[in-house]
Amino acid sequence: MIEPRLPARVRRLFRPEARSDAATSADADDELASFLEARTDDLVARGMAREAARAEAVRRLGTAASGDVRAGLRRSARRRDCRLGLREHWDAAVQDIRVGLRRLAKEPVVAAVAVLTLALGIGTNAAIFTVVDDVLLRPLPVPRPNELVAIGKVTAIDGHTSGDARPDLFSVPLYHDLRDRARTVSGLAASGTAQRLDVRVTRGADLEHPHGRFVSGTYFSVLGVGAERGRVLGAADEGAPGSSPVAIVSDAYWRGRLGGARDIVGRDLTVNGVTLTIAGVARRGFAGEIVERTTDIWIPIDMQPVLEPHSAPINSRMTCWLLLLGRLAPGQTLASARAEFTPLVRRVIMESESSPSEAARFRDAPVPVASGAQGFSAVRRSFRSALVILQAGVAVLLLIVCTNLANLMLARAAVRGPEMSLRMALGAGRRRLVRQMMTESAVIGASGAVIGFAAAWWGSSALVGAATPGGAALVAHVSWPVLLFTLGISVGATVCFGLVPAFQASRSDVAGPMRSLGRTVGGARGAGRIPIGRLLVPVQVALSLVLLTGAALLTHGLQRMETESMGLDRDHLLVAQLDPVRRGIDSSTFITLANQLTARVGGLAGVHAVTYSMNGLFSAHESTALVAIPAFTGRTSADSILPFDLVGPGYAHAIGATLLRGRDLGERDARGHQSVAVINAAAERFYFGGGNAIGKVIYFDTGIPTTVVGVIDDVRDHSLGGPEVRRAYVPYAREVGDAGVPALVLEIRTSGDPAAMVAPVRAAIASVDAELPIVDLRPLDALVWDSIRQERLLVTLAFVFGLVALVLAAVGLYGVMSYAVTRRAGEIGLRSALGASRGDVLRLVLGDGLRMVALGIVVGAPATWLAARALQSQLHDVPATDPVSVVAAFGMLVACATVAALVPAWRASRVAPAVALNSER
Amino acid sequence: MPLVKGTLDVLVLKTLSWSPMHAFEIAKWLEERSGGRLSVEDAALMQALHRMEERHLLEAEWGVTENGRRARYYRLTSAGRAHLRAETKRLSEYVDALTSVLNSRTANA
Repeated sequence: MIEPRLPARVRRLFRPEARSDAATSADADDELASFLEARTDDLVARGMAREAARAEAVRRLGTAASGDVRAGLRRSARRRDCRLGLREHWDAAVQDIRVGLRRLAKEPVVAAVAVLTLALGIGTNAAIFTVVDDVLLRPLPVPRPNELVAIGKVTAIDGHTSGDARPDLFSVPLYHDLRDRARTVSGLAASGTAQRLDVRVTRGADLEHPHGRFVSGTYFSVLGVGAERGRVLGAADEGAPGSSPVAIVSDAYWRGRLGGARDIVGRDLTVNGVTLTIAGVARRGFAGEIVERTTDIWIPIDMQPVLEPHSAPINSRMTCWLLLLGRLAPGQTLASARAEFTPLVRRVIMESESSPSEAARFRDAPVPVASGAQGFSAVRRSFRSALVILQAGVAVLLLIVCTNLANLMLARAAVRGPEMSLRMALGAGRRRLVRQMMTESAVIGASGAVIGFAAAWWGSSALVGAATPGGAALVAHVSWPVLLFTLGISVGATVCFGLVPAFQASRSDVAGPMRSLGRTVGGARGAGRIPIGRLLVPVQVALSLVLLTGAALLTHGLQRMETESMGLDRDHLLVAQLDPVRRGIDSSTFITLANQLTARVGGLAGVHAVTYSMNGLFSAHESTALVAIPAFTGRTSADSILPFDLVGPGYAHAIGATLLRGRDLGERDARGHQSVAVINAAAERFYFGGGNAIGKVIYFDTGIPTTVVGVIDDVRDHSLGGPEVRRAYVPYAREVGDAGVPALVLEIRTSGDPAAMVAPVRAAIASVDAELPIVDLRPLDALVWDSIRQERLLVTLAFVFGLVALVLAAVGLYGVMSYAVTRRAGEIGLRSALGASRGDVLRLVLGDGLRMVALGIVVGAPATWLAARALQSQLHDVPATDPVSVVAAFGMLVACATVAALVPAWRASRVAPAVALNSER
Repeated sequence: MPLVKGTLDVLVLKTLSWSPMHAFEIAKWLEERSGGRLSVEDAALMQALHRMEERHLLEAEWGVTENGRRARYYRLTSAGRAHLRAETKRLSEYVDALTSVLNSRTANA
């Protein structure tokens, strides 16, 4: 009869675990044989002779017996076996997991520590990688992104300059010329910055400020982005200014801010007071070509003059504000596009320049042409080095976590030595034991990965939020690469920390540890063998040293940058950024307003001095001019570029700069008077060879001779760190007609805390013009603080990672030492019994621990040196071998390690000889 | 009489719906039930069995026969049971249709 159904576990006992191919073939043959026998018996029973019956049975089964049927049976037998094998493996895995969970549940603290440290390691890696993926790796969500070519300076996403043509930021006429002439691209799109948009979703709704972008009619077709609803922009949306008052909104903006209304197409939207009709919703998932910003609204370029009437005219070839994206024509490559665009851009600019000498400037001008697969980004470059450093740092951290866990698993394996021996004695295979151990590691690994991944999810968003001013503009997504990366490092880490102890445990011989079954100190290894744990500690120490030194160097670098003299009165300055353009102020009324404001604010009690300027301090707005100076010949065209600011009377005094020579700018330097300028020491050194520049002449690009009347010490106008920037300060009142858009920043020097003056200054400004928008009003210190946000974040994270590494290394050392002390209790007891003092024992054990630390430092020093060299670019003049940082890192490490080793050593010295000897029984 | 094409599978499934059997038992059972009218080729039967096993309509396990011999016992899976129901329905409808056509022709003749 048929076998009763038995549970798989039991059936497995009676069946070989794996079967060879031959065995499964034999199985099929067996069945045929058994059928033949049955048929033969049947025929014999009906009265046939046995030989004849046999022959008849074979005939009935036919040639099939040796041919098709047999092959088929064999095949199905093989498959069946394979299925059974899989099920068996699955059963075994489930059983292993169950055992693993049970075992971990018995030691909840160990399990929790293991899982959480691993989650920390995996989580930090996944979080940083999420940002790396977002900012550095991911292509735009458009079809075939690799066909896109970016032309222009991709970091200048908000660039808008007037006064000169540029080879890296394009005017509308230049864009049109390029679009009509380019052959290597099948289409050329342009997009340009939209300043803050004032949008009313419905009449009477509150103003909101979505991110907008002015784009060409080709924009959506070049990118290959269609409409979710309605239409996207097309060729019909290009024409005369104001001819196409439409807007395309993003799917996210439609669903979020516009309530996902079905009748959205055709609805009106008030933008900067102008009514635009929503023509469509862009395809879901598309949020523009800028990496760190989601674009909400796309508006035709030709609407720009209507929406931003005060900005420079866009039909001028001097108004540069567009970046270009082309899609390669079939058969073209990035190289061929570059070969076409570089000379083409130069030629088109040169054709339109007024004089040959002007045109000559562009003969060799670099034209940036790069892959457009990742769109434009202002932050990608500045984030790159920080992200690479962080990713390397967290990778090291994960390694430390792995060594720590390996140590932990080793200790557990040692405790379980007798159990392993017992299982072996009962016939468990070595492979089975390793698998059991690995399963436990995998359970820890999987739990750590899940928790770490979840933490990384919000961690990466928080990270991006902290790194970008004004909150998280960049949405960190979890994508396939991130998932795969997390999976990869989780598996890698699990193998790292699981495999070593597993093999070590399986090396248990059957007899050895069995003898010690009754002892409290289980699984002592042969005294001659060095336990792997003792090798892991130096590795941890070395890795921690790398992280700590890196953190210390970065901290010192930031500190040096922050405390560096800025050349102005940093602690007493209040900066008010105003928006006179929106108020309708033009160049004729501008100086009057500026004078009224300085007079009113200057009259406040507690205000020491007031001045104004165009670009302000730490605003990231910079003006540059091409200058010619008699007796100075630049080596490169960059040498003729002189950054400048237009400033009010008494500027140097008001910001607290040091006047080295000559005079400050004053009231008399106004329109109609001699053109003068104050320059900084760097400019004087650079252009006048260190000689006195007072009275010398600089020709600015207008060709007007400007006399230097004063030299001030270098001022950190816009950024801490980096080389000194040469700079000129030119009277605003004299240049205001030529300056294009009037921008106005007040610099207010207070006698007390500038933060306390915010309210009075606000009131004073309002008393001059209540409608004048105050964009920003903060102490300079806050602006400076903001400008080093990324650096601060990098340092903070490096510091935290360094500390975590230190703690983990200390815990690892402590664990290994404690274990060693327990194991050597007998020896120590013997020594005490033979007359060793407590001090001797302490020295013995401590020395043992510190030797491991010393080995780690020796191994780690070269690695640390290499890491420090790699960090150099972030260190702001602090040398990679900076003694302060190095000593601090080494000191911290040694101190921590000593404490970690001291505790077990102390315990060892307290061991009573008798107790210790007892344990060795 | 030889089997009509395509009916062997459903006959085997029907046979096995009573109880698990090994290959020879199935052959024997079919012969007996049909009063010896149906002759099942041994080779075709073996092919049908392994084909249906591969399609997961049947599953098999080694067992011991009443005579103490080893043999593979086949049983229906739930998929096999469903297949049997569907095929039975299809076949009986087919036979009904066939019968009515044949009968009407006789009447007209």
